[in-house]
Amino acid sequence: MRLRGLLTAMLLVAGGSTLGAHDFWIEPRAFQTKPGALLGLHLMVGERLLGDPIPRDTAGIERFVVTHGSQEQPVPGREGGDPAGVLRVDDAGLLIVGYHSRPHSIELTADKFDKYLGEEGLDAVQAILARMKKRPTVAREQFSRCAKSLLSSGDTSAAQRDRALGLPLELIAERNPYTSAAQQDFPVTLLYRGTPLRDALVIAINRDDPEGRLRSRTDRDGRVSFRLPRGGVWLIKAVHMIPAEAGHDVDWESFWASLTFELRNTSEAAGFAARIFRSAES
Amino acid sequence: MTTAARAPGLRLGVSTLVMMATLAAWPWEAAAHEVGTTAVTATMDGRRYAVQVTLDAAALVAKLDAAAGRPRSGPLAPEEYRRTLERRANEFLQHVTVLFDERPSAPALESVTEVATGSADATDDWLTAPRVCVRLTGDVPRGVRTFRWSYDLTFASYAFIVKRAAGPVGRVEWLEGGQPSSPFELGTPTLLSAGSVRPGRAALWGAVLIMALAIGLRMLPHIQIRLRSVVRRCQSRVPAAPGPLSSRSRV
Repeated sequence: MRLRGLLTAMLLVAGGSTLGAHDFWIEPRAFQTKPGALLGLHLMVGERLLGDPIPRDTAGIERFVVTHGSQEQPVPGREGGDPAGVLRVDDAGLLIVGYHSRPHSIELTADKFDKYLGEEGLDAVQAILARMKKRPTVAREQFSRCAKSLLSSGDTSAAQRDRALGLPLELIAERNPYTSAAQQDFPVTLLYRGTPLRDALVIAINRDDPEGRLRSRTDRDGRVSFRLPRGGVWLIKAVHMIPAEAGHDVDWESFWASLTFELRNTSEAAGFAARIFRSAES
Repeated sequence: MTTAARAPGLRLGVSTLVMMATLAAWPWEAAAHEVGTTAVTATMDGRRYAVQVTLDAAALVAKLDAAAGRPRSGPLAPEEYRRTLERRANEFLQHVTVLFDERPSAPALESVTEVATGSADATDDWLTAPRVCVRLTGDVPRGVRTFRWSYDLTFASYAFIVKRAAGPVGRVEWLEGGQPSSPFELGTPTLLSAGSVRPGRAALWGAVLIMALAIGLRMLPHIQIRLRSVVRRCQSRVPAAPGPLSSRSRV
């Protein structure tokens, strides 16, 4: 009995920790709202669009803003509160919410680090490690989150688009998702420090079908295009990692970009177009 | 103490030492993920224990849906979250591990209650996140020394507090999803295993007995002196009986 108990505990210790690469994204209570509405913005950590909310921690926020047109405003919120941000939607149009965290440090065992490099398609880092004569047993990493979310208030137009907010690693949707629909091309650009990042793995995940994820690498212009097969909430994400600068107490520095939005199904898009057409006629 | 009486305790100690060594040697990552909104408090109350898990109801239901391979539930009313979680208690319990002396113990769901969100305007559900407190209870097995906890339905770090019912100060530990807590020492196993004798009462009676004995021993010489003087006084106050002896002494 005692041996069995000990074995149970050993297994629990051995298999228990799921610490690894977790995504981070912004999840509003509703992606589509109306002028005058108050909206809670959750910061989420997890996998496959399944996660836990993170309370607001001002000390950990580098930047948390919302832009509407050319105007940018900080997103307010209650310290320690969830949702971490609260938005008052004043006008109709496309809203871009951006969040950049201060860096967190983490130490991972070599095998977990390798697994996560493989999952996130960080081939360049794997190549650097392969060239090393002797690898350290622990990877010391500093990571920061660069999350964005696209929201619509009332009716939006195709001319209203996502734009660069100046996050270290940033995904930019080239089309307004609220005037697009499933089964259409949805191009995205990945910028690192304002410059297109090539050969980076970009992954698209749908909330209702998280296992059917789409994967593609950016071209020389940092672009990738997905034909998103269904409507609903989407998370597009990418990770970039570089060796840490000398003098830091970490070996690697990583940046986690995410972009969330809601896409209409094809039939909904047809209805939306008909509504726009009717309102234009009247 | 005989060897036979000491042996179980010794084996328990070795087992705990092995576990501690394993934990210490295991390559846990030094730092972790962002801190989430989940909080767990375990309270040890003699022969019973209770664990309160306070968490985001929508996130929990979504994770239970995913774990069961069901389509994701849409947003629900706060009372509907409570009812859903009561119905799906067994699914939740599969993600909880309670160990006493490294042996699994199965807690039961006692209640699911809605937690006030503290929003300035509680009627505006766009600004609040539905939270629930899931309360689990169970029996503390006799003679056990340590308690450990693990919960794997979270992606963020969470605070785990373990305490005794009588003491306000507990131990706080930051855990990741699936990470077991370090062992919490419950107390002296001989007293706990005494069955009907409650350790608090036994200790109290013991103390009373010792104090009574000490007072008695300390007071004994005073009592003796006092008794002697009382006897002497009594003897001196006794009036002389008329009779041949008295008359003789006066003479």
